[in-house]
Amino acid sequence: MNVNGTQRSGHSRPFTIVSLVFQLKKLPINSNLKGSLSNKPVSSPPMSSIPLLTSKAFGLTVERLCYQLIEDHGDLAGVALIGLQPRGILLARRLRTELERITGKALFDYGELDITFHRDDFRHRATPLQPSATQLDFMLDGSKVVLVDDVLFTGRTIRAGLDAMLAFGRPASVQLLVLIDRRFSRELPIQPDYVGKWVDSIGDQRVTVEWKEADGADQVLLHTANDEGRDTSTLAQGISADR
Amino acid sequence: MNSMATSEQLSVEHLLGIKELTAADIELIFRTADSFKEVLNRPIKKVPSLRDITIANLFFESSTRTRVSFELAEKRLSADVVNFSSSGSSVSKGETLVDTVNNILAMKVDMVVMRHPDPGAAVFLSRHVDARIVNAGDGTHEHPTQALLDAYSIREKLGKVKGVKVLIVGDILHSRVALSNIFCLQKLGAQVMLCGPQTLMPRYIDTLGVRIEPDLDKALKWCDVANMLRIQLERQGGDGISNFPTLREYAMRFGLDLERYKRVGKEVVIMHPGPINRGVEVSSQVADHANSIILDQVENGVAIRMAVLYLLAARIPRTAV
Repeated sequence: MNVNGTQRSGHSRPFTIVSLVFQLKKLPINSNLKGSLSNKPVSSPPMSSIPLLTSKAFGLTVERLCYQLIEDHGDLAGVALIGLQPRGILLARRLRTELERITGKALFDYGELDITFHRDDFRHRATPLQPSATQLDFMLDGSKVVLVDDVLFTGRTIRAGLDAMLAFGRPASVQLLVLIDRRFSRELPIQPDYVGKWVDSIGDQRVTVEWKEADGADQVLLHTANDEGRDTSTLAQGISADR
Repeated sequence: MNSMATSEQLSVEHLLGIKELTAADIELIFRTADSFKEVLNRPIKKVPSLRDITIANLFFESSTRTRVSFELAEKRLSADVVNFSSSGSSVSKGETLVDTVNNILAMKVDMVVMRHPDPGAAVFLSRHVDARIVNAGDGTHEHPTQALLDAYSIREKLGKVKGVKVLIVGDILHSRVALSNIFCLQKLGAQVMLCGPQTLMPRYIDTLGVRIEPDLDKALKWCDVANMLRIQLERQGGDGISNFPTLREYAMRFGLDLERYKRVGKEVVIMHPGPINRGVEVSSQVADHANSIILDQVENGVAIRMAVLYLLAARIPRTAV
């Protein structure tokens, strides 16, 4: 990962060509979203949700990320794909399946990492987050690690992930792959190497990534609380994008 | 698959005994311990969660396993640790417990892990000092982390605790392990039977809803798990009367040797809270048997204590600088 703020594909170009093709509508930056199309009913307070990626575009984006990994790492020898719990593992598992389908073999290490005990908000929250399972049964010494998470928001989860990862050895390099980069919301100098889609959203908007396996459908949604009674705390159960 | 990050907390601020915990608290401790057990198998067995917490280990009674286990748990959570044992301290100069602890707390200690020979010492302390108290054994009253790690080890070995038949053998009268185990196992839905010499069986213990069976062979046939308690030689005959004639006679009636174990005819899981008097409660062959989980208990002890300290620390409010 590059922590200097420079980026492989350039910070000034907001969308890669592929994601531009599938960008269904212009992303709102600060527009009033009241009454915009909502494809998942969300309980009160009123909240409007618009899709950023629907099922087909979602699949193509994941596939593009796979080809970008293959472009950079060839046959993926020495690559360790590590999904961050709880939601990054869904992307990591999908990437693993796709990469194995594309390359026809499994040449890379795969793990799932929980970062709960490395978070910087222990005792800042009213109740502690429950840890998820870590499954990482290989050493990272000399590996080319690709950390995988669904949404990059403040960068704090990734900071904790880097810290947690180092308990498993000293990798040769670490890169960051995310499906959604909410790039105007960063609180730490952390930038991704591979991005599915950039989203320029404001503070009280929320982005959630839903998965066929866990939530019924592949889609990325942008939620905006309506002006009356703004409250983003009651998102649909099972979806935690940017904690 | 449940991939939602959930957050829960304990219903208590101190761990004084199992009696005060709910079944949900115990399940929460177990789930958290599962994660810490994985951490303990990493190349670097340390997480930074408690790096701004200072913990004092106050041991007014001798202990090896519990003290080492707590200290390791604290260090693997990155807490700062101070150790105190009553020998060579101001306690022998007549200082009261509250004064001793308040003097230690004046040095900015957040949590106190205490073992004390008097029942109720932990409860007493929690009412009089401003720190989170973890009871590491108070006299013959409770030893909550031991009961938690015992039940956790049963859950690990048999996949569940609910419905499991657990036999506790030996010195029930002087055993804080027995009392905490009874509370813990019953809250988790296990059945408990006690076996031991009549003189070491507390009166009215049956009011807790446990079965009592004086014949060890019959009791072993009933149970899935046998927890062989240590004969507490230091607590026997305090009133000048011995509770059983000789250790040899105790071993013959209430000790588990290989011959007796084979007679049971089923795979009973063997536990012992340690330290073992080999040849008294269990013979060497039984202690080292494939069905013995005595060392798993010790291993799980660190993960359980990490979970307890982590969950209690989560409830300490941050003080403004």
